Amino acid sequence: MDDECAELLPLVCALLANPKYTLSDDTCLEKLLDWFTNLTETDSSLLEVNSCLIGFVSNICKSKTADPSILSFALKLSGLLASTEDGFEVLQQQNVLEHAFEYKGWSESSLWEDATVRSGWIHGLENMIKHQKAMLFLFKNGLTEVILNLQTDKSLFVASAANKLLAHILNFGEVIAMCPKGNKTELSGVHKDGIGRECPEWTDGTMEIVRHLGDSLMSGVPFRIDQSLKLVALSLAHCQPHVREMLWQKTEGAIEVLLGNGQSSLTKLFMEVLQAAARTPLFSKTDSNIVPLMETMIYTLKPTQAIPFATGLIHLEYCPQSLKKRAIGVILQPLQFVTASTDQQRLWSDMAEENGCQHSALEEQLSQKTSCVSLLCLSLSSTAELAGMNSLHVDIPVQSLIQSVIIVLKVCVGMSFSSSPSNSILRNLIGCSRVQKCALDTLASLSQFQDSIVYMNEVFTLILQYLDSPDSDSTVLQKAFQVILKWLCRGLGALPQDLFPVLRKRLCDVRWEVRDSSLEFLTQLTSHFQETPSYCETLLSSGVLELLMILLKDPESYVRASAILALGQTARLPSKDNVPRSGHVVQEDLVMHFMDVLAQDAEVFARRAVVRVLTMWLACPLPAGDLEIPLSTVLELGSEDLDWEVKVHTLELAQILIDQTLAQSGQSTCPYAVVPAARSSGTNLTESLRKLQDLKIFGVLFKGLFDCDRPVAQKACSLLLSLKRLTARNSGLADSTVVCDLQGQTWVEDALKKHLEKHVAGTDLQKPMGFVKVLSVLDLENMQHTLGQSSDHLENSPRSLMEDILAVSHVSEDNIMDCY
Amino acid sequence: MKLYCLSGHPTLPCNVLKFKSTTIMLDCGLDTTSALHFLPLPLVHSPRLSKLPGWVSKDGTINLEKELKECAGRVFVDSLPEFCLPERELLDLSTIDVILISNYHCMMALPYITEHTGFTGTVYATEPTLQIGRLLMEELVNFMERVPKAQSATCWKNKEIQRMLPGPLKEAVEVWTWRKCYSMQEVNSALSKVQLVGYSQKVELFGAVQVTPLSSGYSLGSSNWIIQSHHEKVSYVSGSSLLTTHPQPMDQSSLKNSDVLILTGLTQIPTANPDGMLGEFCSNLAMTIRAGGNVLVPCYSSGVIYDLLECLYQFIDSANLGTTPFYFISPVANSSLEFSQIFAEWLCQNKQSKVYLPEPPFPHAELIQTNKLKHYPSIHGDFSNEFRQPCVVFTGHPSLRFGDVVHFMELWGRSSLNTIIFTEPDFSYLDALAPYQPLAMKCVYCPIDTRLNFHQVSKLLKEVQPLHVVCPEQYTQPPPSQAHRSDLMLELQPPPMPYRRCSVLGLPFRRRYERIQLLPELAKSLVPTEIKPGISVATVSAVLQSKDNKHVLQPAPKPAPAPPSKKRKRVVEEPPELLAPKPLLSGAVPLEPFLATLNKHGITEVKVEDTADGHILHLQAEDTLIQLEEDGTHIVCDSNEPLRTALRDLVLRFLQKL
Repeated sequence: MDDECAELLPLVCALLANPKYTLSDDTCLEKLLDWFTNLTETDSSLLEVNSCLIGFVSNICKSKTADPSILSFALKLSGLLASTEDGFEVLQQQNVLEHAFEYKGWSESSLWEDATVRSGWIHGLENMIKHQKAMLFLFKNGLTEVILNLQTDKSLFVASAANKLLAHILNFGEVIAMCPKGNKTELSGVHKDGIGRECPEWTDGTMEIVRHLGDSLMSGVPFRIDQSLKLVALSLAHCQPHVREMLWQKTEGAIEVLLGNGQSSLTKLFMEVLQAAARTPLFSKTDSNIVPLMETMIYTLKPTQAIPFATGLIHLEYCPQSLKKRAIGVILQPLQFVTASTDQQRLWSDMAEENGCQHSALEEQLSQKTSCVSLLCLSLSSTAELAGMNSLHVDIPVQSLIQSVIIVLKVCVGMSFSSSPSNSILRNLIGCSRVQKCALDTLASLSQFQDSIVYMNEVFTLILQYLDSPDSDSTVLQKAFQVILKWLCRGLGALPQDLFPVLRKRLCDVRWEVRDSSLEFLTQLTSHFQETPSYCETLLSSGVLELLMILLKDPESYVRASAILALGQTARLPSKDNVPRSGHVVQEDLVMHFMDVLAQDAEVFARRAVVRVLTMWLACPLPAGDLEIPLSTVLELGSEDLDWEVKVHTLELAQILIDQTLAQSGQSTCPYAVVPAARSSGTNLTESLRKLQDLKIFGVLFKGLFDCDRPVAQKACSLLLSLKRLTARNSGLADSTVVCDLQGQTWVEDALKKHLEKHVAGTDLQKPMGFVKVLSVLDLENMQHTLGQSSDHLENSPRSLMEDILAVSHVSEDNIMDCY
Repeated sequence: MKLYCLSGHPTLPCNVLKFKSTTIMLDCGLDTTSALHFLPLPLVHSPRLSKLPGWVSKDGTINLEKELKECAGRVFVDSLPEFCLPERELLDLSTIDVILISNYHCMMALPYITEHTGFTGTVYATEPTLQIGRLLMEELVNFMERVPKAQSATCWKNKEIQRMLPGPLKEAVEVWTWRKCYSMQEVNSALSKVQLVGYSQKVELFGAVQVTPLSSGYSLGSSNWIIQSHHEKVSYVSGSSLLTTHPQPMDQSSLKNSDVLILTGLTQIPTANPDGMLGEFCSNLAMTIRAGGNVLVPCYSSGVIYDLLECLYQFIDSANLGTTPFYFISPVANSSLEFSQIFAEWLCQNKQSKVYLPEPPFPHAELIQTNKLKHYPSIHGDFSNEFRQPCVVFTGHPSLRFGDVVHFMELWGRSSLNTIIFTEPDFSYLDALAPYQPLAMKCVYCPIDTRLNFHQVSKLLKEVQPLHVVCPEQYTQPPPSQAHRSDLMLELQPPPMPYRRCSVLGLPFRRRYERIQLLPELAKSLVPTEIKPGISVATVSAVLQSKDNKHVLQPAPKPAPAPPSKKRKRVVEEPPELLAPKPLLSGAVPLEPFLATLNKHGITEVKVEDTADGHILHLQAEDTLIQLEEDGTHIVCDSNEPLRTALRDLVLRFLQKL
């Protein structure tokens, strides 16, 4: 805590304790607490420094007359102060804890009726119980009973906080082990049952909690059961093994009984508890009942609940094979059901059928359009997730799965395999774009399996049909493009013949979204296959490139930007001389076009794209020589752009230029680059710097340094810093030859003037100054630090917070009037 | 009530409804698909067509070289195209009282019905329907008349010969009824019988029924019709659309509570969504133009073209097509474009409001103003001076058998750069292209049919809930090419009644009630008696007069005063003898009190027997039976009239009299 804050803190305490003032914004108190929590974690001497805090909490807690929100704050704060053993001692000596937490005092106070106070009491206790002394305090004063009562408090916030506190008590051993070392505690190294031995009260206390929990579970009162199940789910993972044993013993039986009663409202909690239990050693115990319970759950759940549950099961580390198989069956069941509705031969063994939910329930859900669609989407997206898990492919019949997804996609476009005309399940799917999108996603993720090659042609035919269909939604088209890309990038199939004609049509689509995603697809495809001669030939003779040129003038700026990126990728493809380039895309023209866009386009996306493409071209030059890019114009236009992203991209371009120019002289701005000593000479570096100076790069960097957009300034600063380091390393630099043009950069001039006045009296500022000199004069390191702070760091500081609180006392009538 | 179905074409209906002594024809669509069997009529001499070989049967027995020509493996009739008319033998067309027209596509057979058949009735249609229908007929006549053909082929129609012809000519049905196009004079005469109506206007037909046109949302002035009497309602739904295009939206609520709903004119391409097709149209158009090719759009001169032009208006700039000329060539191009702008009251709200700005409701006005769209009556004249390629041409006829489109097919067919885009759903594009094969130009099929699809219609029917639905049989099963698509048919409860050409359907409802008026003086004389709370009845004695399907109850004339002199006996019409009406009885005879009453009157020996309907009382001493039933009481008492009268009076005591 800095001195300024330490000065303000007593004033704040006094103000908060003064009932005359009420805080209009109680988030201040929360922020204040957050700050104290931070301080406690890093600086255990908080109490000693700030005795005013003790005075404050003792005053408030003893009087019990303050505003409920202040009281709650004081309770939480006293817990926080007592979270270290020293603090605990101090507070106990002054009877603060007694007044704050003993229930006797509260039971008579009407303030206890206020949920804020009860919540503060619980949170205070939770803050405090970080060491055994605090724990003993809790048990000795019989607070467990109060907390157990609050577990079913009428305020849901209080009830949930009480549950958390109970879990905290049950997990006590674990909590201590995780405590930061700064907390001096004898128990930090406790191992199994350590606490129990040293603290019989704790054992008794946990026994009491567990007993109460068992009673609650069997009580038949829904809220009590709810809360207890939540408590079990919270505690199982982190509590001591013997506590876990006890907990599970009580829970297991209760869940069995409750499941038998068909308590469907508790299903979600059962799932949580079972999943928590499955992540503990209990799961691998031979006599554990968890797996059978999970199997029962899978059977009783509705399909929409069963699928997410099953997906969770598959993610379990030690999931038994039989359970995993069953879970996969549940996930695949709707998909299989739909496939079976077509007249296709049975695609897979009966695994899904025998393992899944009740047939009739599923059929009922699938026969209604909304539930059918959502169920199938759930099944498809979970399948995609399964496919992403590598270890699973042994369990999934991949070929059948791909075929099923293909069938679903075919049904969705109105092709069908069913001879029974009134098959309502299939009818629900015709033209349904939600299912189409999910199925396409799944198909894309299934491409990774070796077995998928067999279906390559069928998939391409189907997807091309989707791409060609006039009824395909724009988002469906985008997914269809992704499928083609994924399958092609597997490197197994050849480029489908009809792809480019379809792509040409989509590039002329009425919907800009479609034009845009077609362009993105083309860019991705080209970047993947640019080394493949056959692809390049097909593309260059397809007529797509002329369309790209036309799309540079598209009215939609996203499309223009995507066209620029696509041209950036495709225009430099190598073409054999004997292949006629259908698109007469003269590359020089293209550069001219790009420069026009950069100078004139009113929308930012296109301008950003241009700078990105030029950067890409510069970063990866073609072996056979490249285009002449008018770099200084690009730098000038880019650095004067109104959009910060264009400016950042321009600085990235500048960085590449700097790196490439310096590399020619054997230098590198990267501090870790291995520099061959023999080649690094000051003369070469001067040459390089002069080249950069010719490109007016330094002007761009200095302009960027004080840009109103922070990312631009940061980027420019880091670039200048790396140059500064480089020049500092090379002492033999002929500085004066690289002159820095600071025309118009008044702030640099100001900075220099200040520096010169301080250090070198009598120097003429009018005289041009060397770039290296300027760099050495500017305090770039400090600037980088300042820029690194978020723009609201001042407003978020504790000092500002306390000033805000104190401002309450200065509010005069006039101010209030002014606010209106 | 009967329905005579004179056309089997689901979108070109022609049905006759006999309802309450009126005979109403619903639409008279002309099936022009028969023209596909004929060779195209070129506007300028076509060496290719004139060199086509004549057809001779393989064994050489039938030689129809003059009449039939072979092209790309198919046989075409070399004669002026003929059309398939509605059935004319099923009922006497001269008995038709009125014809109700629902839209301009469904009136093209009108001259065949009203002329030379003895028809003396009235045709009802909205103004845009009449005006645009006239344009379409004019265009058709013009297409035919400007390319006269000396010969007329008839030999091939001989049944024996037709049987030997190759398909699809062999399968053509009713070829003997096919007729040449009508003349302009017949058109004028037919249209002179049209009486204009406005939406929701009620038109009385002979006092028997009332017909009302309702907006159907399909085209300018298109309507559905309500035909109703006081107690029955028949709705006729033909060519309706729920999409937001240029016409006024469809009036659905007035179709509610129909006894019968006759449903025709659903979309012909149920799998094609108009929006998707419009997108397809634009992207193919742009692709062709960008590759330096021309686009040919065979279309009608009114209807979807307005929407196409509107869509292009938005698309031209975004696709950088600003410099590409768009041509609209039709003898009625100018009138069609201008008419569309003047029928403001028949347009959708959005377009109507433009008129008040004032702006033309359709943006094609601006396209014309900026010279992006040019229209010409034909390819001759000004057009040849202005013609610039690459370009987009809209022209008719969509069958590709006559009209200026034939010229462009000959001109552009050989280059693969050009594209023909079919937007009209009425003709199979493959059949339309058959006489132009082999064809190098690209062909795109984007049928745009905004009429109701099966999903929309089932929703509509759920909403309006007619008791019975009558529809063409094609709607009761999935399309033959997609037999598995059970979603592409009507599934209703009770199932719809299907019809086909020449069906006569008895419509499944009986007329039970008729409305009768009471004259005020008669009403004044009535004495109502309340029999239940809120329900009063009175007996009426009056004379029923029926005239012009209206029924009036008049007070009975007073008995004529006795003739002044017996001598001067004249034969006068005797007024009907007026007897005092017997009172009407109501109520039930309760058993126990009745027995008690009998007892009081000295009848003690009564044996009561329960029957299904009531009781039989056996008065043993009197040897008399009294049957008390729910709807009648009988006293069986032989030769003891005083006893019967006494018993009758006892029974009457328990009943109410009116």
